[in-house]
Amino acid sequence: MSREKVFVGQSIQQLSSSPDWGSYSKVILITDEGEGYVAGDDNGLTLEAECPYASQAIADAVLANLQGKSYKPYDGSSAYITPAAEIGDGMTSDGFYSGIYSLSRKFSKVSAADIAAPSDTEVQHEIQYEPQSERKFTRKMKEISSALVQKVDSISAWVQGDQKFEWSLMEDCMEWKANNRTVMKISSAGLEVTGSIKTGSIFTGDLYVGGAGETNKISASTLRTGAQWPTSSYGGTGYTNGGYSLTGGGFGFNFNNMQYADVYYAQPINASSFRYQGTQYIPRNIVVSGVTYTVLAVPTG
Amino acid sequence: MQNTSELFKTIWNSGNYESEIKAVINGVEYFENQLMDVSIKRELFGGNNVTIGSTCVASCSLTLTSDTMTGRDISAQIPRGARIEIWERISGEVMDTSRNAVAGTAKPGIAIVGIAAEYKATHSEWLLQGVFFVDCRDYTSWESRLVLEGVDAMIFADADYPGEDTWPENGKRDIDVARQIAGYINVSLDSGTKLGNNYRIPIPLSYTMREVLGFIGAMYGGNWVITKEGKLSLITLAGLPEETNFLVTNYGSPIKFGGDRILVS
Repeated sequence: MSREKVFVGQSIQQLSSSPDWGSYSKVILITDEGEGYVAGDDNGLTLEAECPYASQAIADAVLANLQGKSYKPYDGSSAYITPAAEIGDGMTSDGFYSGIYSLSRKFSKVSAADIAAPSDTEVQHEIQYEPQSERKFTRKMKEISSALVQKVDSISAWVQGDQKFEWSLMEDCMEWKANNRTVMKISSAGLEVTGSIKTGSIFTGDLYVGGAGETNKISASTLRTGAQWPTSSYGGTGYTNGGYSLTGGGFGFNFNNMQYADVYYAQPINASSFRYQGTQYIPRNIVVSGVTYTVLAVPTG
Repeated sequence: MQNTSELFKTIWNSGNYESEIKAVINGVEYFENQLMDVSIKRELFGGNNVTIGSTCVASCSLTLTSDTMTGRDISAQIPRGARIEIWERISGEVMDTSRNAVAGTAKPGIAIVGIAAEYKATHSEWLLQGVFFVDCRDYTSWESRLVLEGVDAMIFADADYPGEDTWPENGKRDIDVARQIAGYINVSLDSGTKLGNNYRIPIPLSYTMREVLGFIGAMYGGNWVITKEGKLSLITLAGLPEETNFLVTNYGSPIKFGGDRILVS
């Protein structure tokens, strides 16, 4: 198909045209991420389109190609044009020239068509400003939106901008979601929280750390406690069924089978004595600062 | 503009013509005595304002009457999604150059020989006015009238881009992508569509073919349509022919002087 000019002349029932909108002066290509590549200025007509493949060079090229071209809106009814005319052809009528960008035909014995280069309004404002209503609409569409939804079985509210936060009150629970992921849920079973908790103090009966896939660690600059009693075995030969005691009064081991236990001190020990409390098993060796001391005998009684 | 024969131009330029249409639905021809209210609507932009990156679907509407298929359910004879072609030709009188020498008698005994034009009725070739596919229908049995609404092949591009394992790592050339989409929707790429910048298109994982076309169109400052001959075509805003001031007849034919066109200043 080649693009050509169609002569309409005065063979048109009605032709209403708007003043020339002027040359295309600005091209905005918007990517999926909302990034806009802008070429040109606001001195004329702006063209805007979504294009995830856009770049500044492409926006510049589009504008360069349109340099000096203008858009002339019109609306023509019952124009006698050749049946060979296509969308995109030029149209001349009584000194007016524009493109055929809309073409509607109701076939009859004569080849008449309604043709147009459409426009939202016949008024092209010469002063560039955004009315308050449009500004509100733009803000709603481009920046943030929100809703409060009340249904028979739930009430929910959300606010969405770059991210989305929402809460929902249902018959059996209440949920808070961040970016569609549940971060807190309250139900008759209690409170479930995904993510971290920051608080001043927690007073609780029992505290269970970890779960499936967790590391089971408590991290603290200072850990103050009355006593710590590990209840499970620590992996490794000879440490089964054992434990240790870290109390305000001292530090002690409580291995059920001491004959297989070795104790290593990473730092030198400065102690007045080593005391063994027991009656059956005696440590054979004590290693202090790399020197092995053999225990010959332990006083009893 | 579609290509037309010299005969078509001659009839059109005479200004004295009649238009005639026919529809070919699923391969069966229906003529004017069988057709009512045939209309076609085409647009370039997605709305009422100038845009780039649009991919508009053209539509048609036509009514078939009982004259076409008496005694049978006319709706049942047309399959779902059937192809509709609408054709038009013009008819008129053109000079019969084979019989332009006539003889006559002015007065008894005085014979004159002159040249007089003789005209003969003729018609042009059929011009395809659009290829559509039945989208919905409304059958009134008591009138035996069937109204068909059709849309063009652009509607088929409203589908996910088919997966492909061999997409080049640095993207595929835009013209190849456009040609591939044309193939997927069973049309060909219009020969007038030139994508000269060779932009590379990454594999379109989450876009429809129609969206991809729109993105390519935007990169060239244009919009896609399906032409009357059923081809995928990019119409760029910059591609509007330049306005000229050559002298033409009332019907748009160039007026020439010694073979040259006359420019009005």
